[in-house]
Amino acid sequence: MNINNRQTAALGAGICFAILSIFEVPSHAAPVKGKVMDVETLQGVAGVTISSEGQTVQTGQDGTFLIDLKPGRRQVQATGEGYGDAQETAKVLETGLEDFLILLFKEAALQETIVVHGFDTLDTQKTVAGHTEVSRDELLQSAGTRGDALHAVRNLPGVANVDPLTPGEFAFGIVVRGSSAEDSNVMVNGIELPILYHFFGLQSVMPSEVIEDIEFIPGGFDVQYGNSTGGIVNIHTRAGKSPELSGFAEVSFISVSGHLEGPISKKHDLWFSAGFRRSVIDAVLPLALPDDSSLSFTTLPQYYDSQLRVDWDPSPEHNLMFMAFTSWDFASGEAAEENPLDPNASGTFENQVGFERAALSYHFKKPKTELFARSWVGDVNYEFQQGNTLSQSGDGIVNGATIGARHKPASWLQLRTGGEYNLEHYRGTGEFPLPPQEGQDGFPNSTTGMSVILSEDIQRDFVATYVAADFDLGTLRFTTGLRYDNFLSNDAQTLSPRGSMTYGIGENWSASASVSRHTLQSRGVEILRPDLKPEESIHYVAGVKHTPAEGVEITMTGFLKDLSELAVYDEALIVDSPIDGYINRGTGRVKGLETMIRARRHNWFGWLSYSLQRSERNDGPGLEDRLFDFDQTHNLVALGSYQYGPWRFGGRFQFTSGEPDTPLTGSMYNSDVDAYTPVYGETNSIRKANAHQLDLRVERNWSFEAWRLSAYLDVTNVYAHARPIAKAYNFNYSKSEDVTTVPLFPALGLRGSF
Amino acid sequence: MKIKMLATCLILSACADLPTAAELSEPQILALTADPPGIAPGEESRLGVVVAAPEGLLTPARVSWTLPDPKGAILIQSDGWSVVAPDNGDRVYIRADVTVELDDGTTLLGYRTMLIGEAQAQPTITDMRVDGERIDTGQTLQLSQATHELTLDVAPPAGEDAIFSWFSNVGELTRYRRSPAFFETADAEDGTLVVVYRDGKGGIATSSVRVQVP
Repeated sequence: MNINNRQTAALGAGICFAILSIFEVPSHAAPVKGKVMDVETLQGVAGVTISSEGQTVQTGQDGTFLIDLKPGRRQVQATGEGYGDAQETAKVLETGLEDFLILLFKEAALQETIVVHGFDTLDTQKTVAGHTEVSRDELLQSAGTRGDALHAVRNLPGVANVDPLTPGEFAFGIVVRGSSAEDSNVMVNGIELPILYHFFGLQSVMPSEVIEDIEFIPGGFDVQYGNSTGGIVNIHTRAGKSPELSGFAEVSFISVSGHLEGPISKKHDLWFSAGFRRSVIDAVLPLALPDDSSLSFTTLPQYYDSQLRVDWDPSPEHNLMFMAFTSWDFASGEAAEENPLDPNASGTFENQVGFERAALSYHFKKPKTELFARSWVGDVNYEFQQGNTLSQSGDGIVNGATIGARHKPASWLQLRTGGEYNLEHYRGTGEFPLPPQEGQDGFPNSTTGMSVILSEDIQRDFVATYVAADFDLGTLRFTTGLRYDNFLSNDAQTLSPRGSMTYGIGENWSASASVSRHTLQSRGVEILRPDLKPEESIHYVAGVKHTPAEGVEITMTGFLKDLSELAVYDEALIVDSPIDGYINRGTGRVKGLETMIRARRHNWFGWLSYSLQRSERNDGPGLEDRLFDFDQTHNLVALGSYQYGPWRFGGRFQFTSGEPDTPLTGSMYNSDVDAYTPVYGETNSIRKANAHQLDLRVERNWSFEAWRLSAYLDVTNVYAHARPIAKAYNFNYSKSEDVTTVPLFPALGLRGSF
Repeated sequence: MKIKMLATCLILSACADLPTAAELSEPQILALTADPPGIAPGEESRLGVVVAAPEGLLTPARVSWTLPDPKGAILIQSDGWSVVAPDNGDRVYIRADVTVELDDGTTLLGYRTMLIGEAQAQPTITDMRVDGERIDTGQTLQLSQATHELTLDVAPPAGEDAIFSWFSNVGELTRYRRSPAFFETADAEDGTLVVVYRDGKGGIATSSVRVQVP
């Protein structure tokens, strides 16, 4: 998109939003009398803000209020300090409405009652410093995320500011505490996501509407989580337990989507939610591409995803849940210009990737005993082709199961045990250059580099079991556990002891510490080398938490990670094939300090997150230490969101130190293929420019008789500070241009719901 | 397993607006020749360089070859550079590195591989055609201000691995690594059109013509 197109888009978005803002509901308001009560005490709550249709009133001392609303179904929102927000539908008659009751839950009670029905985890002591849970509204209302939950995770301390469009990381992962993206697990109800983002990284494959909350553990995680040396991002999906059928349809610059949820049978406690989304990039992209673009599409980039969840609660202790989700991306076309650096990759291209997952979970829960079991199956298929000589395609069947049990024999003791298996079988074919390892310079090149010729079955299987004990001694709580992993396809077994503790200091302070060992099976193309050993990391984490006032939380966490057996790449080891170059001889050390100040009041929330970090690697004996590819010394995020009547305003600012980069010192002409090989200097010895951006979001809600309309404008990078994420070079690497993120991106969305 | 989409090349090629090799915008090596490209035991192959700059083809001030891993081959400098295969060596590929120094002080680095222990013939360009008309080497080509189709006939016939590289310091070349390529001449100017043909087995043939656009 050139700057003129961007300005035009921003202007168009603004005009659309202004037009929407002049809509007002009809006049002839009628009085609505009501009362707000505490759900536990059933006493009236004073000082609660009641808002609807752009009007705002306060409850009196006895919790009563009077507000004038137009006849019809009206959404009424109640926000009171110390209570969670409540929203009720008032059926206003021509004569008005009396005895309209709104019940409020105390925030603390809400936190306890938001039971993420544990379909993927057991209730455990959250004794690990840095453990964070982000609520649904915080995810949806953060500026700059366009309402996308996984983008919101990047606002948390310990998460590097890596643009999803960064070459090499495209659509791939989340960099947590100085670990490579592939070292962390991003899961949906405990099932690993094979791909996180659709094309261009604009949206993640899981729409926020299906997400209840996201559990983020940047390190030192419990023994029930495994096969990760980085962090854990576990997306908990939402049960569709609306008392009546409800749903929405949404259209934005990026996608169109729809969602339905409600009871299948209230009598049998059977509920469903279903969603579908399709991108509209194929409609927008032709307008955004410069006229002289060398790209032409035979199939414009498009993606789809869908989600289904069915819950059955035959009794309060039992829950049965079925879940399925799918994702599919496709684009094809032709680049008219020769690829100057990789001529063999010139010409036509095709990129297709899709996956499906289906899972069945059972959960039994009583105060002293809990049991869950989950089984899932899925498939993945992908096809990538570029030019005449670069192609990769494959498909695979994956399945797994997890079981877990918890028992509390005494008030101070809880015992847990469980296990899981994961089988992944793929059939891959193609010819492609290996993608670079972390710390490897440059990009894969099918002209000057060696290519892997793939035509084989690949397996990535593991089984694991664990035991843990949680001790609750009042002010002191601690957890100790042991996890055993058997990485079958690598013929390697690991034992991972882990322990964590929390000590309460008075009412408002607590201190936590943990030590844990974590291991990770080979991933990506490394699975072509089954003789590689699991990578290892030892996490040391310590932190304090202070709650100076209700709704305000301050955390400070320090950590140290020792990494070993890292798979690095050494061309000197190649005998027959490029995959010979992988060897487990890398080590690393990451240390950092993270602070988060988080506040939530009745009509606003915000947080300030700061991470100070240094992540280093050593690629083998005798080699100098170097910086990790995404080492970001400083990473500061400040965000807030404020509700004013039907309006909600949000802002987000982020500053990040420039990432390490490797200087290019020259190039060498390869006459055999008529192309150049770059010559690099010391790996990651310089840094890119610092990154900073401001995002703003404004949202307006309208209520009509039987439905609601909301419109939002979410502008990413409002002052258009484009961030360099890579360099594009000319044919012999003597000239370059920065490849930057989109300098300014306005996302306008409209949603109608009922 | 996580899937890493190989979109890098696509993104970068879509973003860049940089001079191409075909434009001859700066001094560059167009080819490193070995004649013949493969030599039987005891035979000799002459090494050469084809260098161009914005003003056209040029002769380097100094050329220096080395064999990092000669595997018995001998590098000789006498009225040019050549490689002699060992009398009783196996069939192996060796790499030859070159440093090219130009009059303006520019240094260019490059390398090629060559076959030792087995004879291999150099390909030849039988015809260069512009819009279907045959052009002789050394001929001055008069071109109208239009887009012209460039084709090359070679012997033996080009295989799958063949590369046709077209260069010119005038006009604009598209599909400049294929045959046919397209040559757009929009302004009145004089220059050079060079083509380098690689047979994909080490053999290289080159041809050039002067171009006049009235």
